[in-house]
Amino acid sequence: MRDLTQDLVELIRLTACDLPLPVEARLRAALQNEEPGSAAQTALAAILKNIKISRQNSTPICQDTGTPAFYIKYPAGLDIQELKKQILSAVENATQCAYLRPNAVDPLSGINSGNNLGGDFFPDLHFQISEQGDFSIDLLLKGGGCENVGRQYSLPDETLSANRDLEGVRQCVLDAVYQAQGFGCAPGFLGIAIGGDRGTSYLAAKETFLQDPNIHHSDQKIAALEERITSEANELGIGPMGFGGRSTVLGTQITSAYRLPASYFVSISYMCWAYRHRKMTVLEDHVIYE
Amino acid sequence: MSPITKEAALEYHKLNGLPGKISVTPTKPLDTQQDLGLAYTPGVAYPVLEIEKDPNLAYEYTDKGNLVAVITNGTAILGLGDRGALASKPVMEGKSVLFKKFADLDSIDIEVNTHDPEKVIAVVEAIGSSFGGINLEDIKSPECFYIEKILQSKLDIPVFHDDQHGTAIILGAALLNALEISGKKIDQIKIVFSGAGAAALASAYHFVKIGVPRENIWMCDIKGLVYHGRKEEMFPEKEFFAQGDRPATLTEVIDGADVFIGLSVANIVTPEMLKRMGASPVIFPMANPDPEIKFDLAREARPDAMIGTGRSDFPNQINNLLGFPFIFRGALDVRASAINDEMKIAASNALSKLTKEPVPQDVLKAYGLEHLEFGRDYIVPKPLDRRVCLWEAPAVAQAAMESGVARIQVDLEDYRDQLKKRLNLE
Amino acid sequence: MIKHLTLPIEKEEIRKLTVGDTVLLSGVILTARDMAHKWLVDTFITKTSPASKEDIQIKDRIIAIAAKSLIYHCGPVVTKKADGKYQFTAAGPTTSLREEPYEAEVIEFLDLRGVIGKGGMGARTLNACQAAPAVYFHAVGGAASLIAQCVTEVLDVYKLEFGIPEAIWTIRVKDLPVIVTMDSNGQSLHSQIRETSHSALKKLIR
Repeated sequence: MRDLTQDLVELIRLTACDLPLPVEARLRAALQNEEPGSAAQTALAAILKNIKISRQNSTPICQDTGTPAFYIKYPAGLDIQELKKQILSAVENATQCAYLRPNAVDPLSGINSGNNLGGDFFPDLHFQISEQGDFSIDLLLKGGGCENVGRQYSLPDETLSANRDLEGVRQCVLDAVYQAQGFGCAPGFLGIAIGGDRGTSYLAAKETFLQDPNIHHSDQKIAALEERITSEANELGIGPMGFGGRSTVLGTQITSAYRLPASYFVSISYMCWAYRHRKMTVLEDHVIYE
Repeated sequence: MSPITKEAALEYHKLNGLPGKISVTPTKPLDTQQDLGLAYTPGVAYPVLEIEKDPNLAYEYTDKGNLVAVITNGTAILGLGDRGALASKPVMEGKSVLFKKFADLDSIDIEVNTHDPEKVIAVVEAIGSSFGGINLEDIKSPECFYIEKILQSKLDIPVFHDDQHGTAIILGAALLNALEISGKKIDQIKIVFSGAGAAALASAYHFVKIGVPRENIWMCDIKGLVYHGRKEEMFPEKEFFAQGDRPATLTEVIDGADVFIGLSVANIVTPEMLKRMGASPVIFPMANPDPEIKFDLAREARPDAMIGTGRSDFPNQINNLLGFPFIFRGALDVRASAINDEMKIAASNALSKLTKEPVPQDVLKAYGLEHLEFGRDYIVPKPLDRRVCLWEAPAVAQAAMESGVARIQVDLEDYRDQLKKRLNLE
Repeated sequence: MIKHLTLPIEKEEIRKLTVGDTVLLSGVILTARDMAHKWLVDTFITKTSPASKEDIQIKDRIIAIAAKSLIYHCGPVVTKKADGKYQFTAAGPTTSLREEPYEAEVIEFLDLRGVIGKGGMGARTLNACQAAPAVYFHAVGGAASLIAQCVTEVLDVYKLEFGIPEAIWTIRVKDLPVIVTMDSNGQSLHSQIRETSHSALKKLIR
């Protein structure tokens, strides 16, 4: 396969420095909704200014560039070993260019590797073969602040009186948003997975951020629940940065995963306002970025 | 009223050999050498140094506390569109003059010659401290939303785009009164807009703040319904109100609506469309100079409706003049750092309450009416009702004090008396 | 209301600040996060780790800068310019609550007038703010490029062995936008919002 390293560095640069327009649009609308003279308005105005500056100067939107999570769809026969090498090289390269902050810390020694590479899970690579022969790479950057306020519930949950149904799900999610307060850099986005085991549940919740935030769930009942959760989360009044205000959650996406009869997990992945997701589609002799 | 012709208008602007509509008047004696020495050098150095030490003293030693800048870049002049900064000057002078005439606020017009929103922001941010408040005017959508919000976060004086919020506040008052008459609840009505520009969107955002669920607001513009996934003429502030994911026409959307608000163009609403609205509908076709449907036609189609337009020759004229002079008056008199939602809602409520008071003779005379009483044909005060200031400015001042944005406190009774004196309303 | 404050700053100025104030900060401050806090407390306050000669030198330099000024909870992205000087390219705040076990002592030890961070801090720090006096300045989370532009000069760096994000950087800032969320009079916006959001939650889920 050909050398995609530079294209991958560009993917990283775009993701880290150039916030997708649909996310920026939601933040603009949120600004309009906040009270003149409020701290919430000051926060959103600063955020929007920051987005512009980062895009102009190719500097990271947020200094916590997170764990780079690559989701690769590849055609059968592709040399995955080689692709993996190129991705790791691109990550190192991008770190030298300061598009990424060195974020890989050995948990046992406490030493930062310095080049954003660390063991099997840093960066985080997910390979999936494509029957149709597609070749694309999604990159998601998600920082520690919002990662720390994700939560997983096991239903039934006694303290919330939440049962194994959609009403129980709604209760868990609102509780999670309340617990998060402003720590996840609200206004945020919610990725929710119903079902799975402890591991697949969290993974599925995070993977909802690869979807178009403007597309609702295909099941009307779930789509209505997504809307309801967003609207009710905003009624908590936590606001941007937890300063109090009207925008706490800008969107909610729900997915589900088959579960064991004995388990019923609800995983909430909390994405901050800096919802950094971009996709690179690899064609014959060039690439397209979205 | 005589017809407003081009000749008459141009003549007015040159009347008595005086070009334009405003001039500046000194407020201190400048007759003797002593006066000059105090007003200018060397005396003026003292207030300069005091203000440098404490910027708040600018309110004591300069006109800042009574000065509103009317600022535009000329990109959305009335119904004329983008005609450029200089061409907008007669409109801006007119706005300044209305501030002075109706609220005794000194006002100067500033036309910023740039289309770049960042430059508009930079200019206004840099000159902001000279004023007690900034009235943004005739700046085109969608930039106007962003420009206003960013300036609000940067300046510690009110920044208020009247095209957006003036309309919203008056409409809010009219809507509340109309709903009281029809007995409908604000969280259960369907509102349909024709037009999704500055006034329409600001009004929609305002309605959400006073209790209308966002899902109950439907916006239609020149491309029809604003829906999720629409590509044409879309921007973030408009997307917030997207409904469904399929196109639809105004005719389809107005079905079952309780409220129709027109901030678009003339003659696009038919009697048949109005007939499909709910019982006791509220109909506000406000396109200028000709509404979306003529008042009489609307009245004929729906005798049970409450109808308001922007025209002075029909009942329920919804005119921004009922708002901006008195909102700024109240805000500046308590040195408010912003005109926030509480103040806007207080302004709306004051107008709404005033409409329920008995109407004095001079108002009836001014409009050639025998009788006027709160009801279908009187849901908002008349623009030339001199009581508006005494109701609205104190309400705004009170809301500023209660919501923590006022930098000085006033006793409301004293304040009302002061206003009466200031505006010769004894 | 927007206030401009220049560091170093006197106690009376700090007492005047209240929760909700928007402030633009200018002057020299230093960054300090998890490892720096632990090092300061372990080495000089609880003295559970021995202090080397180098440690003491660094401590003296830091005290000189920090007195009457602020620390900033931040792990920046840093590049080197052509002239060899450092530049911050991304400098948003990190979550402050992790430093809660250390902050009260550090405020006293360094004679700080406040702390800049994200997410607020707990009761111990709130009490220390009343005593010092000091305030908590909440920076806009994630506004990395905007805040980096407010860093006009990177003066020095200590404890680089902690890694770039965890090192102690001394920087000059101009008009860094922050909101006071904990003041020196015992008020905390975070407690207020936690309360109001809790009441709202109760209404929404049984």
